[in-house]
Amino acid sequence: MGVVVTGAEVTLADVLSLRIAIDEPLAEGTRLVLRHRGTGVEREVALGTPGDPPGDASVAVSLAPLSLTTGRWDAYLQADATRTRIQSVDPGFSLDSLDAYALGRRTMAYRAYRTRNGFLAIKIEEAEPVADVRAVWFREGRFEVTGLLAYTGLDDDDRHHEARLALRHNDPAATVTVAATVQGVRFHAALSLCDVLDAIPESEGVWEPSLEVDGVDGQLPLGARLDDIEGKRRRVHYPRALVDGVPIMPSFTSDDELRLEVGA
Amino acid sequence: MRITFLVPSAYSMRGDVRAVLNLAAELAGSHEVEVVSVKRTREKPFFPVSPRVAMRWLMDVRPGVPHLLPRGQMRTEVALWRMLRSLRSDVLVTARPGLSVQSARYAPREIVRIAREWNRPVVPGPIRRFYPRLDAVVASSASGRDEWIRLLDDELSVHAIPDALPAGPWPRSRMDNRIVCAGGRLVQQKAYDRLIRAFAIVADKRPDWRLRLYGSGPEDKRLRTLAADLGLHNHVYFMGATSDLAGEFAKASIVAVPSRQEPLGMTVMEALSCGVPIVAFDSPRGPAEFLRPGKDSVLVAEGEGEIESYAAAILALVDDERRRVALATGALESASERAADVIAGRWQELMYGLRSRT
Repeated sequence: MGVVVTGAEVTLADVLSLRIAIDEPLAEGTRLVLRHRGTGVEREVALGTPGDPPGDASVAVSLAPLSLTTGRWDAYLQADATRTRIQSVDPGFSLDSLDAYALGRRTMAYRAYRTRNGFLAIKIEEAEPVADVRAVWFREGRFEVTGLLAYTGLDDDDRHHEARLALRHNDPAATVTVAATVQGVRFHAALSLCDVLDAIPESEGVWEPSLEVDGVDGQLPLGARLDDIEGKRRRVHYPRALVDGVPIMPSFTSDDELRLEVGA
Repeated sequence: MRITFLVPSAYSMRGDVRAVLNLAAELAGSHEVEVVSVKRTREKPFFPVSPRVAMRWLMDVRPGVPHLLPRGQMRTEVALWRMLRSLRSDVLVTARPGLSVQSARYAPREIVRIAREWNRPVVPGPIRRFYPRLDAVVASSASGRDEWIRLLDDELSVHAIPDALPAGPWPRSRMDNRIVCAGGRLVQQKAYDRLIRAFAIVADKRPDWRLRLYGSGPEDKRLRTLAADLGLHNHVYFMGATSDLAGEFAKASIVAVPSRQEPLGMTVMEALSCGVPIVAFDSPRGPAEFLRPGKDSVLVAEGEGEIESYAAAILALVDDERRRVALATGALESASERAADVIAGRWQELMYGLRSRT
């Protein structure tokens, strides 16, 4: 059975939408099997419209009812006793569609992608409101950050929201807070680095930024997850600023959250 | 036909090895094909070998493998001579000038002997002396063919057949990400510094576009410093080496090839196979030979103002989605001409023609 996915996307309604090229009609009773890479747990869905003529076919599978857990799920087609892993030529990656998907309030984020070996898989992560960082600068003695609010349920419009950027030190008493600009889901904040150094006598160490936005519960961590780049600590290197002889450098943690390393 | 490919080492990570293995796999569909590696340098070949292709080696030089006699060039020469004298094949393809000279000297005359060449000959003396005994020389490009014709003064025996791309399916770009991608070893001849300098101009005008650099190498630190000096920390990502460069190219809308030299062009062909247009420099030994400028790519002249011209070429594509998509269609057409079955067909035709002559 020659089956190649030419388009794979998880829609805003968490429906896995596949465009597939088939060289023979799908047999009666063909099922889509999703297999969890870590545990081997499987979920099966019967595919409709068997007997489609060879050529292009479309398949839509609602993922929410399958109770899929977080992790990576590999996709197979099963007809009788024959199981075929589904090849994919779609990188399953569009920056704009990831941004659009993250507009809604979600607890789980689903993403279809092509594995390095060329097969279809689905990646599932827990989704919490987050401030997704797009750019960071040191300008005129200030740390500036801009990005996009994700999974908050706010609309991508021009409405202003009151917001604050907070920077917390390991010492819970030390917090620097400044007003931030949030318009729709886009945010921008700038923080004086001198204020950071003056906040506590021993300002060295790791500072954790977060954003508080009126209308959104809790503090939003600053991270960078709305793309396909994992391990930004290795791949993204921000410049180091020197303030009063103290080096300050933004960096990512192993789970792609932004930190400010002072005295590093 | 029984076809033998003779390579210095089929186990190493080199573009020419990959090209030979791709071709051998495709020919093995209708012929008996073996790849003979003069040296075995590791447990398994770096690139996958088709199960239809028989593999053997002459000298086992894996680290830690005990030897009764000391290893040395003389033993290798003797093993090679023995192999050539006792070869029972219809066609022998040698993939390095040193091996082709030995093939010309020692392989039985009833075997069709072909030299596969990717580069200019470094030492012309033995080549002028022994290559006329071969049945054919096959260069990987038209300009390579011209150089070999000049060297051998023999137009009839020199052919040009490009390298074969492995069978798909290849990932296909949706052309909807604001990403410029480049990949390969981070070495001086790839000239990624030219790309980073040009991308500083691009990022200034179109700050939502990103450059992703794949690969590793001795230039890594220098290039990171350059990107930092140009303030490109938000725009240039050093992605490291990947085993799926094609998959990464398919996420981009433009592939940049700033190389000064690109003798094999496998990276270029991979990009075309993913349906991504290429922006490259028009260097004498650069990727131009593998491209159809204006149809699948944009070429920029080298020399004064080259960085600004390169940036302008990228920006022109960034701002013209229709042209990008048109070039992407052309890229797929170019890649189809390098499909393994098409290239294997040309080799087969050449081999049959030479056999009927002997």
